[in-house]
Formats: sequence, structure tokens, C-alpha cells
Amino acid sequence: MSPRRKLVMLGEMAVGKTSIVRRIVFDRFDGDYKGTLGHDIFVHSLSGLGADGSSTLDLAIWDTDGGLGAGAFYFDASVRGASGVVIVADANRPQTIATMSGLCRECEARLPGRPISLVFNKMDTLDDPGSYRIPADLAATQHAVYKASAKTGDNIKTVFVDAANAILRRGL
Amino acid sequence: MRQTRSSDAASEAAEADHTADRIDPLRDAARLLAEHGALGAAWLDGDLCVVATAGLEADGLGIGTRATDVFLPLVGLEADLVALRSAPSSSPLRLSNTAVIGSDGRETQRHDISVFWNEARQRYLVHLARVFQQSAPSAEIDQEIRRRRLFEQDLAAKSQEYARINEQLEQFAYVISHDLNAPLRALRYLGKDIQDLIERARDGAGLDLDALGNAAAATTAQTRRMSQMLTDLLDYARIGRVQEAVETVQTLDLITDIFDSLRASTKLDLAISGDWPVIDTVAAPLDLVLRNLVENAIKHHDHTIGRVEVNAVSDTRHVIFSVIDDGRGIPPDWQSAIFEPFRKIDDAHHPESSGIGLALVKKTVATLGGTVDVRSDPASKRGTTFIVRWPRKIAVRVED
Repeated sequence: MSPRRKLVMLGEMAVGKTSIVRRIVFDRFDGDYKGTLGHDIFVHSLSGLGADGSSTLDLAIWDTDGGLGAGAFYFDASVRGASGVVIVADANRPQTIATMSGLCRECEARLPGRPISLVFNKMDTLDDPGSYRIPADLAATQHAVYKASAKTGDNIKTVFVDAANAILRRGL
Repeated sequence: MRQTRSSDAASEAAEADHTADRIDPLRDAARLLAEHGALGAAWLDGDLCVVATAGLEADGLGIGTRATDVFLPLVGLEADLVALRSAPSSSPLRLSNTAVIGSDGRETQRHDISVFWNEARQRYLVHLARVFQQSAPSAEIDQEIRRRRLFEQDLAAKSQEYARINEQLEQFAYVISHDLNAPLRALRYLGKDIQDLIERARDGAGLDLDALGNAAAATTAQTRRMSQMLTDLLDYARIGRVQEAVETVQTLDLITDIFDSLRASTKLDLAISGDWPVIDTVAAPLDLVLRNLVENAIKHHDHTIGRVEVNAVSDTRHVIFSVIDDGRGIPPDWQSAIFEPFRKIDDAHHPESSGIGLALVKKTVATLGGTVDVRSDPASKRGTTFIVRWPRKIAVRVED
């Protein structure tokens, strides 16, 4: 059996966390927004990992709701024990990027050593995605940053493959 | 609203289980299910292996399997479960409203999950309480609340952005009305002088060619000054709007080039110290910032013999550049104003300078997420130090 590790999706409401997970797990996109209530756990197996491409990993991907409370920071058992974190923001909505910054700092403090992936979603909706600049405070971190689109699938697989490789590399 | 019967029931169930050594686990579970509505239960040994289950909800947990391998909600929580044993009186581990979605897209029942440690029996007790689904109207109301919250958040963010733009516009209006007025006023007076010279010539006093030549030269100088100010102002406005390419920059080469280009114009000792890293950054803005600060230090130094030193150190997020001179210093009441466009301490000594250099530096650094500060206390010590915290990462290349 492949090793199984927990990966948690975090981010403000309606940034596309569920769409990203459904894109990687089922390779499909549903444009109708339906907020996640509670926690949905998906399994996705990745192969071809590691330096020699021979490793596999089962990710238990926790899709969390965006948090109804102000600030959207919550760290209950759904986040504890995570080997990696994917924080999602909507490239069109500055507020969601502010939330991403806050969550990033929280994760750095509470989940030290875990890979954190910062995903700027909905790039397909921008007029000029090529010139989109990652906000400086987030670009200045050492975390992996991605411009992605759950709708078109751009970069989605890379997010999870990179996270899985980082988990294996760090022995988490 | 959703209905659960988990929390109180589970606590009571745990309490009951805690003292139930004499009761058969399955009979105990049946009693719990009946009395408290907890719809599934599993007992785990100290190694987290399933030793008994009860209720349909726990059907997936095979006896003898390791719960953290087969029961996805517990994956990764091994350390937390061990922590429960070391502090059995602490709150149980709870996972609310959790469902597992299989690779076929099917969703399991939603559960409120609670895990307790029973010290007396050296067992974990896992309770699975089914979460009853919301009614359709209730779910719609919940979705509507979410939509409205999103709308409010976006509205607030846009208001903040408009306020920032308004502030910039006000600053621009001030600069244009106040600073650009000075050369215009000078041109008006020069025009009047030239008119007077011509009037006097018409009155037979002869044409004072020297005075006319001086006035014409001054007119040209003021026109040039105004043109330079407008160019600088446009450069200032353009900062942050142009996407600069990120490239690998040898910062030591960059500062060496800057010094080489300035050495011919000064006798000051120019020194480089510290550790200058290689970083992926925007080269042109970094050159603009360091060049402006070094040029300023040279230009405003009040001695012909002196020193300008540029130092670099790094932390995890920034490269910290310091430009240190031993000039006359900057009075405290000027240390904020020097970063505003067209503010100059010694206009008399440097009339050719538009006074936008430090404003360009500050806006450039701020746009990229860094900071610039000045430290100087001329009352007690000569010299000024400008400290630039330059972000190590400006933008990320995305691999397709």
C-alpha cells in the first residue's frame, strides 16, 4: 500500500478550493458555486514521484469550508496532522489574497516544516494573465506559488505533484 | 439548520464507557446507540488497531486493521491520538461534519467524529454520529448568507482601493499646483523682464543685449527644469504599472557598475562591504534605487574628502542594503519630507535637481513589497544611513 498523507486545502470562501480538488481527483469542473459545509475528504493517488520517479503517494485531501467567521482562520483537528497545505486565493479578489497572507503566517507557525503551496486561482478570468504579478509579500516567502485555473486545469496537477514531492523529500 | 446528536451524547457515552469495564463492549455499544443516538462506534487498542465495532456507521472499520490506515479522517492524527493518552482528562479529538468522497464521486454519510481515550480499559473509543442534512430552504439561506458576505468583503476591499487612489490623486494635484507653479512663475517674471527691456529700447535707452541674453538663458533653464519635472513626475506615476522582467542579478556586479559610473565625478571614497547575493529580481528598479541613493550621498556630501559605503546583508525574506555616508546628515524634521516628490533640503546648492529621486526610491521599493528608512542625527554625529529592505523574491516563474 502506498503511504498516505494528509493535505489540507485552505482559503477564503468561493476561491475555488473544491473546484481545484475536483479537477485533480475527477478531472472535471463544475461552474456552479455550492459552498462546502464542514469537511470533505478526497483520496488521490500520485505516482512517478521522487527523484527517480519510482515513488507513489496517496493524498487524503481535506477540502474545508471557507470559514463563516471573520478572518476565516480556524485550526481545529481538520488542519492538525497535515503533511502539507494548499492555500487558495481568487486572483480577482484582493480580500482573498489578504486572507491567504494571514493563513500562510498561521500555517508557518502551527505547521512548521510542512510545504505550503500558494495557489492563485481563476487566472482564466483575467484579461491579461501573463502580466499578473504575485503580491510582493507572498512572492517574498519561500513557498511554492502557482498561477492556476481549476476551470482550464492549468497548473493544477503541478500543485499537487510538487506538494507530494516536497512531502516525500522532507520525510513528512 | 443541521441537526446533530453527537456532542452531548458522545460525552455522556464516553463517561459511561469510562466506567464500563464489566460490560461487554458490544452490549455497551448497543446501549449507547439506543440511548444516545450515536450511530456507530469503534474501539481501538493503544496501537490504533480496531478491536471491536458496533453500528452500521462503523462497518468500514475492519477488525484488526489500523484505523489511521483505513479511516481517512484519522490520517495524520497519530500524534494527536497519542497526546490524548498522555492527557486523558483533556477534551476528546473532534472532527465535525466530515464526509469521505470516493474516487467514484460517491459521498459517505456525514459524521461528527469524536475520539476518547479510556484509561481504565486502555482503549480508544471512536464515535461516529450521523449529521442530518439540512433542509433545502435552510441550505439556500446558508448559501445566500455566504454570497452576501462575499459581496460585502469585495465591496470593502474596493472601497479601500478607491481611497488609496484618491489619496494618490490628491498628492498629484498638490504637486502639480504647487511645485510646477514655481518654474511657471519664474517664466512669467522673465517674460515681464524681457518686455521691459524691449520697452526701454523703444524709448531710446538702447537694447541691453547682456540683460536680454541672461533673460533668454534663464527662460531656457526654467523651461528645461519644468520639462524635467514633468518627465520625473510621469516616471513616478509609472512605477508599479510596468511589469518588469525577473532575472538573475549578481548584486555585487550591479553595485560595482554603479560605483564605476560615478567614480569619475567624485573624490569621495566609495566602498562596498557585506555579502552581496545572487537573486532573482527586477534589475532595473534595483539599479534605480541603489544608484539614486549613492548619487544622493555623493551629491549632498559637504566635503570633497569623505566616504560613501554600501553594505548588503540578507535574512530569509530580504536583502538589506545600507547606503552610509559621513556627510552633514539630515535634520529630523526633514527625514520624512525628503521622500515626497520635489522636496529638497538645499535647493540653493542644487537648483538643477528636481528633487524626485528619493520619492522614486520609496515608491519603487514599496511597490515591490520592501521598505526604505533613513537614520541620521546631525546634532550628535555626522552622516546618514539609508536602509533598503529589498524582497528576495519579487515574482515567481510559473512552469507550464
